Amino acid sequence: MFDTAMDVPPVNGPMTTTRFSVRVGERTLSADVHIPSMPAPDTPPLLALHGISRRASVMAKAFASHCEAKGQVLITPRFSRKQWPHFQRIGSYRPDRSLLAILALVEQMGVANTNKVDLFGYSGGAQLAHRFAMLYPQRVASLHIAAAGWYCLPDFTQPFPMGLAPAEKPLKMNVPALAHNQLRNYLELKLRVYIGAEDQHRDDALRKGHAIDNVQGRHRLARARHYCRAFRAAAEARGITPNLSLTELPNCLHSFADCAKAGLTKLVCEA
Amino acid sequence: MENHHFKGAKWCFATRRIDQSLAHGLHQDFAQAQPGDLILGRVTSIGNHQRIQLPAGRPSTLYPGDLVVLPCGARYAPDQFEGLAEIDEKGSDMLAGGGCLGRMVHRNERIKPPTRIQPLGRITSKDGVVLNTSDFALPERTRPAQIPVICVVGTAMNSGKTTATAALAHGLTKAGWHVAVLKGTGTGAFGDYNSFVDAGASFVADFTDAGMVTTYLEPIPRIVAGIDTLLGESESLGCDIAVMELADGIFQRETAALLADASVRDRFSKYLFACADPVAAAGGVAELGRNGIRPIALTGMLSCSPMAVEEAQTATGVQVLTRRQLLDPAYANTLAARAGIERARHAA
Repeated sequence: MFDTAMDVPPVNGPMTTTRFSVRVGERTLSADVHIPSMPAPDTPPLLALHGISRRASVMAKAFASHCEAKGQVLITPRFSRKQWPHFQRIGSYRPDRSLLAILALVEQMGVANTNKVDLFGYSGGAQLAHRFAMLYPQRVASLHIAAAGWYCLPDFTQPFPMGLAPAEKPLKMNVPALAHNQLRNYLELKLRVYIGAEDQHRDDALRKGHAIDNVQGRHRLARARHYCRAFRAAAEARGITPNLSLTELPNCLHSFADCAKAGLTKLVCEA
Repeated sequence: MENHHFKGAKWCFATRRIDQSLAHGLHQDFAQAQPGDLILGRVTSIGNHQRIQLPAGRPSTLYPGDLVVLPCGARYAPDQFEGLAEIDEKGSDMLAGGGCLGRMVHRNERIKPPTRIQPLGRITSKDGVVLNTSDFALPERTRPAQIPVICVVGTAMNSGKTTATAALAHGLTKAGWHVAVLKGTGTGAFGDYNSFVDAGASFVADFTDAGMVTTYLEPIPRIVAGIDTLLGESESLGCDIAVMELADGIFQRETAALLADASVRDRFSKYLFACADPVAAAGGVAELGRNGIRPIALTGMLSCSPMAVEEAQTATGVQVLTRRQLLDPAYANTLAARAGIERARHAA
């Protein structure tokens, strides 16, 4: 693994930005770390994961003013298309290990305490965010997942990757068993789910199929609602009162920019 | 004698906690030697141990005539020596590279006789008191309440315990935990210690830090008190979890006694068992079962062979984890979860 850090132009206002790169195995991951003018040392950094369009800089700009106001360090990784065609999955690819390495490097460089982060993901980034949190719940202060195309349910009737029952095909990495051991800690997390109220289209990027449509719903809005029900049921079955909310953003389609305009980034930072 | 006699002496790794400036004189009543007493000696012949491990963490080649400082201590090492903490004024045996001067009673046929040391005296302070490793131990602590402990045991020396311990410590560190890596029993040496430091552990310590140069033939309550001291120190330093290796095999005197004691087992949240082959796995799991212990995973040399892994898992029903998996933060983190790390943090 080689790690680097270099200054890059700031995204917005008084924040300063440094780009960190880590190499884990054969893949490199870069992340821009945006430091507010007056960092609040007790505030966990916000780790924001882009979707499949990989517009990390757009996400950084949308969060910048809120993070600056809060004194919150903002970390925006960018998974390259070439090296990370399926960055949202944990298994054959290990985006989790690269994210951990980024967090370790940010801490080692003295930028922020990354023991815990507020973890946000949009669309494909939301898929990665909740899967990461299922494996490392202790690293997550609060989990914010917006407009995920589909979810890994805390449900042992559904085979992995849709649920936590054993996968139908042998896995190189037994993610469902690992997540199973962390499930209680995961269900105790503060979870905020966001979805555009108009995100009801079956676009090309949406995963479709008989099984997923029947279980999770035919579009992202239905799937977000289903996930919240499943999360609540799994928590309550274990005697946990879930710290969970679902926010449906009015007039929003499947667009991060629209959701941000409708207050998504402010909601995340003020949660 | 005055302390210029110690100039140039090679102090062994097991003396790493000693304030060398306190060494002042020598006491030649070797019959009174106790385990842990610091002995100044001169190398008379080079045998099995051709080098001495220094507190700085590097080995130093020994030559006849070298002055060395070794604590008096026993040794249990089936692949080397068994020895007792006795000093013979005519000549004693270097029983371990990291320290331990005593009398060899058994030797593995495949190795050379021990390096011989002519003892010159027990080292005393200015006021004539013999310096002992126990005088420089960490402050004794009562049993800590919260820190989860994954205990690593195995079939024998060289079954893969230390490799597994270091790998798990590294995986846990990568997952973001502050990890204490401890040796509860064994003989002081820097090999294991250094590998735990290299793994990224937040705190590394062994029984030497609790005042014992070796735990062999030490009273069990003293060893247990040492374990509590190491765990208490780990907790006070803010470690989230401890990985503790118990040396040698589960039939070894002290390890067996510790595992048979329910109050000791209460200190350990979960167990990893390192072994070399499926038969050893089956035997080890059965033997541990007599004490109500079911390891959360098997590891060690066994895990290098996919066929052996399958046989062991079939025979025992216990999953096998490879070194690569223990190094993986996702796998290590799941072991932490099973050891109750979050419950411990909430309770703290």
